[in-house]
Amino acid sequence: MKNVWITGDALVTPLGFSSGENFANLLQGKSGLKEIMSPVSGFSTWASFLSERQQKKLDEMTPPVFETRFEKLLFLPLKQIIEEGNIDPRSSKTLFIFASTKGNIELIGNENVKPEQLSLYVSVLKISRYFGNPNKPIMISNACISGLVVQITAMKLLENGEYDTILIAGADTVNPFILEGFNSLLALSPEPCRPFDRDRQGINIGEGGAAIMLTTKKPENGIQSLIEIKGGAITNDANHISGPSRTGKELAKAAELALNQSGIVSGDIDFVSAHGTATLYNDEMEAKALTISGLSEKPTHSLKGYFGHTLGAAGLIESIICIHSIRNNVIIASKGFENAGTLDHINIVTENQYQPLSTCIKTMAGFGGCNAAICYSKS
Amino acid sequence: MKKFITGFCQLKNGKFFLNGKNLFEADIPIDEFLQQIVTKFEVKHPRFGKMDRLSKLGYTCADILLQSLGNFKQHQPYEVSLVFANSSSSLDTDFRFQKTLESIASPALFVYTLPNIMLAEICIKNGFKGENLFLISDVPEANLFYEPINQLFIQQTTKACLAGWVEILGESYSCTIFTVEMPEYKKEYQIEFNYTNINRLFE
Repeated sequence: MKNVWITGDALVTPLGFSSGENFANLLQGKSGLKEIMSPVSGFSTWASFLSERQQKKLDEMTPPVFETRFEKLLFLPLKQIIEEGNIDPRSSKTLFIFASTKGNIELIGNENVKPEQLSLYVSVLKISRYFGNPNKPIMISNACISGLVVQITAMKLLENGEYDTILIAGADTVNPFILEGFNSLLALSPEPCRPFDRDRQGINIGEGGAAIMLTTKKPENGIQSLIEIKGGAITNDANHISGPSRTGKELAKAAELALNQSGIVSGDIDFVSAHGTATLYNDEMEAKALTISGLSEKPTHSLKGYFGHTLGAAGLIESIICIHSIRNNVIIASKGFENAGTLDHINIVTENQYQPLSTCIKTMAGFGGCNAAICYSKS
Repeated sequence: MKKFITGFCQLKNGKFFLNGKNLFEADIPIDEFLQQIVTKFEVKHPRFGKMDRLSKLGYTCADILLQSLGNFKQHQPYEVSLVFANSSSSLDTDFRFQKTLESIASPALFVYTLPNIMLAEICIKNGFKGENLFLISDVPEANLFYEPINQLFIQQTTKACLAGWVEILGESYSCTIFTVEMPEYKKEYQIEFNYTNINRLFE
């Protein structure tokens, strides 16, 4: 099997317009969550969304051909990694892969909107063509695990050798469609979310864009240490269309397969970046899964208290934080956690924890009973 | 490693085909058409009425295909993976959910505003626990399916794959679902799993 290195990453979220800025804000405990009232039915919740000033900045930094927040949030981080990585996006050995759950859905309900303006594929083709890439882009929509599925798919395609570089981007936005939907499921928290806490009341939605560059071309050793994707796997609960598994066995299976592929055992893992949406059932299920996987004593966090749940982008945004954690040897505290709140005990990190790090596992679960896990490691 | 397409079904232009044989045709709207083949082929699901149109279309065609492949059931839960695609994602249901915002947002519709929920319906009924992949593209073609399916089999956890293109938006629809298996699971119908043969399924 070929090694797959991560040679670039970028984030555009309410916590900053670069990965570095986001990571620095996380280290200081800053959160993107703000109170928001739904313009449709008037309920109040918390969400992580761009301020007017940030929105204006985003508009100024993206060409007018990208008209929506979704397209801009895909474009800008991609532009950053392409420029910083000094690579040629026009090469036939380069492929673009995208992740999103709802894309331009904020346009729905506008009188003059045409179905093609809501098409995920139309948006991402526009972006890959803008960069002059000759290949058809791959657009993946696997609910909340999309951001990990794109990386697993990219890893497999790189191992196959048809491409040597894959540029991945993912984005989703906070909009009335999503807020009303999650509210109708009684899944939104009226306060900043508290993953794995006893008093957790549900999800906060977040928006953001992220991009990662994966390559099989061994990069020159720079100042930063090299990180590899070692393995990843996907499973399905085959249990319920929207509720998670009762046992956590299927997420544990995804973790087991990811570890096997990576050639490591659970004991080698330094920390766990969990999904931790702060719903009653998700966090309970994840605690069970981590216990089955022998990971319950490993330092674990959820990043939803900083970014909210960024849906199709969440896997990418949180993976980028994992990568920076490994490089900087610090595990980010799980914001919003005070008292243990799952039947199975897991080791939630309450303060930034500085220690030598080389390997981590990122887990996610989503609607449709889907689960995913990826392992990252220092080369 | 040779693999075979061991069965396929298609629903388009008011005609339903199984392994290329036209088993039913009627010039009626798609919702009625589905209702008719559900009865005719004894497609059973306790919550069928609650599914959105994308799930009804995909679930029905997958069920009829799987019924015809009796020994597909011998695969273990984690051995069966799903690779599906379409062009409109769940837009048909998105529009319906959006309309409910004028009165009370419908949670029953909102849960179907993701295309992979159709895969969940198939997985739940059949106990499939392998990988799920849902791709959005412009047209059905071998390119979408060949490499992702090939890679699944290379990982060795996957021994069988259910795949297809399931598209519905208003009255426009098309559905092609096929199974891919290793040679040891020999079936009455089988053609080699390659680009040309996948593209033929979409003709």
